[in-house]
Amino acid sequence: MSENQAASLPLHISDWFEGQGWSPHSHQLDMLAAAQAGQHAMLVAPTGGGKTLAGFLPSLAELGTAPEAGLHTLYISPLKALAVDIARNLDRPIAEMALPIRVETRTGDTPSSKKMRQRVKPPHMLMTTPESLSILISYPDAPELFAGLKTVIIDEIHAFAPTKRGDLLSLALARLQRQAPQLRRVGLSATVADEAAYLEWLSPAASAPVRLVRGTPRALPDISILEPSHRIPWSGHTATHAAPELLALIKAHQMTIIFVNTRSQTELVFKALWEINDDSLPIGLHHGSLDVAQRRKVEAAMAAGKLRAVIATASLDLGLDWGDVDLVVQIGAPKGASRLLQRIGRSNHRFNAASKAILVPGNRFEYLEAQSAIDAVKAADLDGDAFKRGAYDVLAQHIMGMACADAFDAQELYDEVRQAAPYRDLEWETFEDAIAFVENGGYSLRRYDRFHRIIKRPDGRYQAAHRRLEHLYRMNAGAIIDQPGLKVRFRTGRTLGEVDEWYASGLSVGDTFYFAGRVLEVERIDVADLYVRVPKKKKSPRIPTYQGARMPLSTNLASRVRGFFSSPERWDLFPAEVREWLELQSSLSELPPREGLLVETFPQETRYGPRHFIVAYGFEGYNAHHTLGMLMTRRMETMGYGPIGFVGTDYVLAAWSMNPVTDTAALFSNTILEDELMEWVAASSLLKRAFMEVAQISGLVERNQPGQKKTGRQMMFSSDLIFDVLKKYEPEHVLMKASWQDAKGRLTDIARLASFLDRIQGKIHHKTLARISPLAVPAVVELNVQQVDGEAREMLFAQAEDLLRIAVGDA
Amino acid sequence: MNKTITFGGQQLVPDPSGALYWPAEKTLLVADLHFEKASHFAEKGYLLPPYDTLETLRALKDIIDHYQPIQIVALGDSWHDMRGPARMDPRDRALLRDMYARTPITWISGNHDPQPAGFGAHVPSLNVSGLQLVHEATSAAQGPTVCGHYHPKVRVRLRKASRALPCFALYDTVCVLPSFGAFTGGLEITHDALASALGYPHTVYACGRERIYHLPLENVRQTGAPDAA
Repeated sequence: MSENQAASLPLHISDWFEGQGWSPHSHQLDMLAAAQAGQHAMLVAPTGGGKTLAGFLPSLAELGTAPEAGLHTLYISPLKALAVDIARNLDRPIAEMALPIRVETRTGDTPSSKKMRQRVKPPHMLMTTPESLSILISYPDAPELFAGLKTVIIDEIHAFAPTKRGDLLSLALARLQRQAPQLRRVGLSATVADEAAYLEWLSPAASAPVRLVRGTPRALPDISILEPSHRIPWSGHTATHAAPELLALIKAHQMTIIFVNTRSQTELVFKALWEINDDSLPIGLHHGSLDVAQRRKVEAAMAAGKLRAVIATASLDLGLDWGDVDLVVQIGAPKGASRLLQRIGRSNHRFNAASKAILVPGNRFEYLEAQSAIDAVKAADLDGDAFKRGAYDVLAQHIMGMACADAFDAQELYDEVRQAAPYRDLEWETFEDAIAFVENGGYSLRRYDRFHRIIKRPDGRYQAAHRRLEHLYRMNAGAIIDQPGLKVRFRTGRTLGEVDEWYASGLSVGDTFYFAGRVLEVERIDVADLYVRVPKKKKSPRIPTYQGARMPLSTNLASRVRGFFSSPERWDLFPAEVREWLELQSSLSELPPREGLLVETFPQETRYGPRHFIVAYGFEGYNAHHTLGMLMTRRMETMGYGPIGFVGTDYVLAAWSMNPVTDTAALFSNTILEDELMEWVAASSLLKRAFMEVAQISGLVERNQPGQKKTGRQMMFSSDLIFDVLKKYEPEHVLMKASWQDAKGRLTDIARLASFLDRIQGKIHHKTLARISPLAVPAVVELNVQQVDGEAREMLFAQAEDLLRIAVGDA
Repeated sequence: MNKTITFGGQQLVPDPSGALYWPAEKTLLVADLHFEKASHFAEKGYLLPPYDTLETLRALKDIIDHYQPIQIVALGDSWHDMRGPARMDPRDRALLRDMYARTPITWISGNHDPQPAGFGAHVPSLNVSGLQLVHEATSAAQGPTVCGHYHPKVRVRLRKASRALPCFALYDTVCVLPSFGAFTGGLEITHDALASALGYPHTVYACGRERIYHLPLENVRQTGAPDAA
């Protein structure tokens, strides 16, 4: 550390560091220097590098030398639990430095008496969430509360900046900046691919500079792929066959986190381990459907070192430091390098130690993907996040909030809103539409001139029409929409967690399913509750599968996976079975090219007689393949091929039909996006689902009303009816635009599909084969599992091994 | 060809729109129109699209054009609340007046609209050729009774998806119509509110987009039903 930097460290802090036997990291000093120069700053650093302390050091320095009453620092975290945790972690340095600093948290769980007091007598530092901040700035006394605010720290900025919550926070920050022009913004982020995009998001105005501070990179993680001691499955993602090896790994380590990709996989893996866990090692479960109290229990047990392993989904991806994890296992495909790195970072939180991780691929393609992810992590080649334009429903919510705070002038608010990065290109007309929506619904048939949520006063400013509406706004502020779910509970009232409506609708009374680590039998299904009991007789359970959004293979990994096919010299990285599979493909058909697209067509006998298959090796991820499948089968219909069904995986798109496809160029033409897409999106439930969320965020319907809570089930239905009528009578309404914006961005990966189609034009390698190819086997097996309609489900194919025999001509 | 329900000795034709046509009497029955529901919510600050009355009127007009009845009976809750007629858009009002001028409508009072709202006769109930027409009935009903009020829906499995469709629900002495209004939701036939008043229906006719599905009870998914002991 240089003399110069040491000089900027106030005595009370340098003494404290000395007392700990530590010396400050250079990025901690850089953050301090940025503060002393009055600069906005973003720290990009891996977990475990004292990142949070780096964010707070400037505030501790300022408050230690010149303590002032009033709110000095606002800390915003994506998780309530993280806000609470950080507040607790700050207590120690503050106490040891003997600083007169009051730190408090404010989340949805904070008692209202305390919330009230915080507005009158604010702490020096307030730890909160984006949702609570939106509510805070909607109070008329917000200007006094925030006038003296010096610093706002946004933690885990990578986790939510590109989402609707990020839009809402960005709007709230624009308001804060106006009330406290001196306010300095500080962002804390994990390593991201596109630093510039995050700097821009954090920046308070179009050209305001934000200083980028990079933490010291951690030691390269030690990542390996589990050696298979069994035949590698052709399909599936859960790798339950590897349970004995998993258990051995758990035994060999102090504390293991086993990450899986979906909630249902947590149940499957837990069950597989439980059946062979003869030593009764304590193993826990953690996923988003589990009841909050259950999750807190598991977290506490981890922190106390009482567990040897936890099987988790993305619910453990973020934030907290739970115990001394010394091994991370990723089951199934990692899907993206950034995500893998984030998960690996859960182990060995100590800064100078290398994290240790083991990947367990579930099938052959996943071996390629796992190796690609390892290569990408080593090359520090991370995935970019797509920043979208700010959502209109979030804007409408914010406008209502601002009307609750104080009467606003439309032009002034427009100028303020455009300081927020996601809304910098917002057109005045769209802003006017959003105001009109909040004012009286904004319908062209101006029926509601007497009914308002905000009213225009004689001086031209808008204010909330009624105190009751302000209350309603604050009850519903936020951009997190829960999927309507049913609580899984015993008749005694004990709640185990939640399953989504779609899943519950497939269950009947008497059905058994696996949930929260046990077999349960459905006793009764109510509007919002699924009553269960422990079955009297031992029954084999159905395994829950959840509808939740699927995370697709990242573009970056996809291109690396494609790269493997043209690099046979690297195939010795793979187990023999995988290697042989690739070699067979090379001799019997062709390997997917690095550029361009391999399409195979072949006949295959099915239960219903001979059918024709088409398999396209796009490697563009599940979402893009699924969308393309929808569009392509429509076109196959018009072209007279008689399509029966299709399946999209992360790697391939496969369809089967009555007649053989001859003109592949027409099927993969980029005009397919113009002709078939709009029709399909409009007809599918995609838009309806998007509208359900838009209707809630925008305040058209409210989730919470005083004295009652609407269940998701009722909400879904009424927003469906509203959607149908609005689509028919006013398709250009701002909420319809918002739904289109959402639907396109969310599920369909349109942009990715478009660039894929552009890339392959004129470069389609069509192989007409006499029989199935080795590479096509997994997709054809997958067709058995995922079907597009009931009739096709009846189709029974030969098992994978038989198919492979057919491929190599043995059959 | 539409299916026919035999109820109380009468032949009745359920229509996918939710209306019930009675050929012998050339009478069209509809329930729970809930005119001006959106504007009712708009008063409270939920600015729902103000097109529900128009949408309901158009659906009603289509069904009148199709069956050419000589009279219509609306089985109550025709207005979402008693201030509805005052909020009604003049154009919608003209449409309703025009409709009434051609085909008389008898309005049965419901819990949402206990008072007359104009546009013709308003009665607590009606007896036509042995069928009692009321807004709300229970299993204690004497004689064959046709009613609305409950907005019955039934969960059916179509392909892989399970969907709740509005339905006509038949009990021993009661036939319940689905709601006809554009913004009216529904209650599944197994819901407590319905089951405690009427028990479980022996047959339902579910309203698909284009056609009626006839579902004897053993084919109906009773997701909320208690164990049949």
